[in-house]
Amino acid sequence: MDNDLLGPARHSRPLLRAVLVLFGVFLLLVVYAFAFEQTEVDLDKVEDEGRRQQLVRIIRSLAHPDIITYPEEETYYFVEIAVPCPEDGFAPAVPDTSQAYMTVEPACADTGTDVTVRGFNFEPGTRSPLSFIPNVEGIALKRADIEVKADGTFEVVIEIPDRPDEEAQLLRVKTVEHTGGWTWSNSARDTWDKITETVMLALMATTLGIAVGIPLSFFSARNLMRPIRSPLLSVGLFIFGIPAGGLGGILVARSMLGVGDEVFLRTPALTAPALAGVLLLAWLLMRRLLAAGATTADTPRARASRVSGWLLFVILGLVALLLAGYLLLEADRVTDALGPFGFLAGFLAKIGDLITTFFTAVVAGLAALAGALGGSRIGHALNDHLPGHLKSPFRYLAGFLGIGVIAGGIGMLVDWLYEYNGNNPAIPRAAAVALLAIAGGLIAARLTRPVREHLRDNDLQALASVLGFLATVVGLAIGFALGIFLGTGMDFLADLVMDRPSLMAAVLVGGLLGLILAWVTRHLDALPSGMITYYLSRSLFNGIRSVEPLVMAIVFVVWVGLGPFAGSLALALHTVAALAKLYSEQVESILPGPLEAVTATGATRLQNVVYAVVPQIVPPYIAFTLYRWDINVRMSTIIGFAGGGGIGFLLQQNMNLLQYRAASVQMLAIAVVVSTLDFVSARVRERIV
Amino acid sequence: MLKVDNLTKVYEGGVKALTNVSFEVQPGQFLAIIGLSGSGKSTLLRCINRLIEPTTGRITWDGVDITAAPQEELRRIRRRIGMVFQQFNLVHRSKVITNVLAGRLGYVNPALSLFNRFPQADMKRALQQLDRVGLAEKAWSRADELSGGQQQRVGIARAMVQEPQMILADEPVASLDPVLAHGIMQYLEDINKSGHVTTLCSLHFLDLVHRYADRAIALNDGFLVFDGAPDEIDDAKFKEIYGKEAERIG
Repeated sequence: MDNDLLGPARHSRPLLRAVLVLFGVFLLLVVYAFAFEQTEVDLDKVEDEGRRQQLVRIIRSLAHPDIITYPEEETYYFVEIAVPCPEDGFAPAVPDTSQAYMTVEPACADTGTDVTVRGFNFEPGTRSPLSFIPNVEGIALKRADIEVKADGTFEVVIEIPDRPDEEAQLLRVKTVEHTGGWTWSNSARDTWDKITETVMLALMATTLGIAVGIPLSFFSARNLMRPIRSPLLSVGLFIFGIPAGGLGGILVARSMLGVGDEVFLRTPALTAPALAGVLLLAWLLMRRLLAAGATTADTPRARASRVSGWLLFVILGLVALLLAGYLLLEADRVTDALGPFGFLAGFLAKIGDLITTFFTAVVAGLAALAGALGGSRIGHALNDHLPGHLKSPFRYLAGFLGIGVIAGGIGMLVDWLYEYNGNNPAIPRAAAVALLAIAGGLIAARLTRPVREHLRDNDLQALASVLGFLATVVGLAIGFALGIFLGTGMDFLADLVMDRPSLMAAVLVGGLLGLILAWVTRHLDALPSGMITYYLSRSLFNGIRSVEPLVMAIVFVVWVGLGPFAGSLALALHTVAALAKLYSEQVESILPGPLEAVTATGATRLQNVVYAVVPQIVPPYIAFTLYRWDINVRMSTIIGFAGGGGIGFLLQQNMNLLQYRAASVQMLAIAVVVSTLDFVSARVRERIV
Repeated sequence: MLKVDNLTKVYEGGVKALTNVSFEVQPGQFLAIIGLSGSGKSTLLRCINRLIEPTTGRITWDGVDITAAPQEELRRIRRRIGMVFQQFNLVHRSKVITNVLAGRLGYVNPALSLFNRFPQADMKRALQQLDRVGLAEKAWSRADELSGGQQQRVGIARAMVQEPQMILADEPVASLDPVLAHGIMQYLEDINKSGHVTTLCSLHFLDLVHRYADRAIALNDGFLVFDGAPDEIDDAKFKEIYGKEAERIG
């Protein structure tokens, strides 16, 4: 049937088709005409002789990379000439004909006339410049290039420049001879330094990119995220768990650092034994946990003891990490003793510095993760085991907390970016009052509903939810008040909340939206949390990816100063986004069968990823990682243009100074590195696939 | 006892794969599921361990409502149900032993399993099951180095280390040649008879149904059109199941 409809239209109107094609061609013509105009195509410039000569000069310089030099000896040969001819005539000194010498014919001449210069006994094949040397300090006027013939002579006609003088002046030939073996030129040495820096910069950026990109890539894989649906209860508590856990983590980390600085910075000798003790404890605990892991008892008690055991293990691990940080800080003391390998001790000390500096962040991050996972677990458990009418208030609470936290985060960001708090405190206050009024109204409406309507089962539910909600608000308020007045350790919580009416407003708006969300989705078992995560992470990556690394480099140069550190940070950020996208597309193209089979055995999502997904994506991940390294090496040339360190800095400098032979060395080095990486990656892929 | 009650599955886009399917399976029974391609056999099997979420209806197993089980409980149900697939569904780049050990994932400590650490007892189980299907010496080969028949035997070993009380086999021999098919079916029969493992197996060839199944059900376009002993499938029944133009072979 379709054929009947399409057939005639396609074949019976050749005229129409011809007109359409003609119109298309005409349209293309217009587009290209416009493109020519816009790109300022100028054939006159292409044919311009002067520009051509410059081009040839540049290309020839590029073809002569300045890699090696020879020690040189310069020799000068002179012959006298009088300009103009003196009235009493001019007789030049008689040259020593046993060595290389030159004659001028005639020996004196007027400005602008030609003279013939002849040379004898020169090294055959020598090419040298012939210059007129006036009686002025430091000036040589190049007249011609001479080329010595096989019999050791040359002959060249030159024009006398406009340099009349009463004294005799000189014509000079300068020859250069290599007097020893070759050595690396300065630009080769500089290039070597900078290309090493570039490769390392690219390595750091790629490593960081992999470390962050791989875990994130799973969140932007549609096939993994689509089946994930979570009840609002667990979503809300998951989100709430992030700041709750994070703040708890900060408190814990601060107290740990307080004790640690007090004890181990003062008496470093204690660090090593303490670390050994903690590691021993952790090892003993690990053995117990492994032994317990063999028995797969599923009673709540067994599970509780297992979870608490692993928790203790993680805490011990964190303590060990901090102690290791303190220990590594001491590595600075042996820098001098190690001589040329001092950079190793410096590296260790830097790692120690990194650990102690970022310890709070690490603990906060881990605690945030634990809080989120714990919240999600609790949410799931409540959702699975609570009867419907008890579940409802918790759903509303979870909606309030979850969306409230998100809105609070956005509020803080907006506050920080646009400084509402400092500039216009009226806005958040007004918003807060308005929102509180709305919220109060809604709550009142909800409260009075059972009175207004007849009693049904649903009304009990509604009442329960409102009571639950109110109880929670009261509880939250009490909690905050307690927290704020609980003493010095909690000061920062007070700072965080008390002086920020806009934050409170944002949380309230979000909380309200959360309540609305809970109400709208009251009939749904679960929300498509996987796809929400998918779209969020995708948009984030697309956003980051659309910012050119060059622009990022400029931002990072402002932050951490000129040099390769800024470059590697800029490239790392871009690499995360680019690799996460490439990786996630690989995850999306795996065979679904193994995934299905592993799911069917009762595996968890994480086990599924490790056993069914990871083995399938190892080869493309390695290929993409190496490719990205290669891209990063090439990009770091551009990054250098913006001050991000690496070979680009040198390249740009030489291009600006018109030192094309030096620039050529750098371009060559980049080409060599890129081809080497390509070769290596091909071999590695062959091995692993 | 497995009880499927008014099971209906409508896919996104409105395709109705199953319509009000109800049947019961006694413990230890070997049930064959027959029907044309696209009649809903795979959907039915996958609804039982909820690889596919049923739209409506209930599936209960030993009194536990599988369709209502929350995620954690579902995992504990799934680990007692082994599954065998038409395309074997092994992870090609992993070792055979890793593929088999994957069957223990529902039992082991999730954190440790992420680092490929399994208890000794599970290792022993895995090697035992590989030995049972005659592939002990292939344990450390990569899965994609094996032939189709061998891969399916690994698939059976993976299902068996779960120590299942039920096996779901989705066209386990449709990708294999007939000689190998009987070998695979005999493993399933042995598991069913000596281990008293309830077996639900979708099959294409009627002679396999006659040879191995205690009972058969037939699906046609998502409807249950037959439920009875394999011997009861006469020519009239056959045409009802497979359509009027179908010819019996084998």
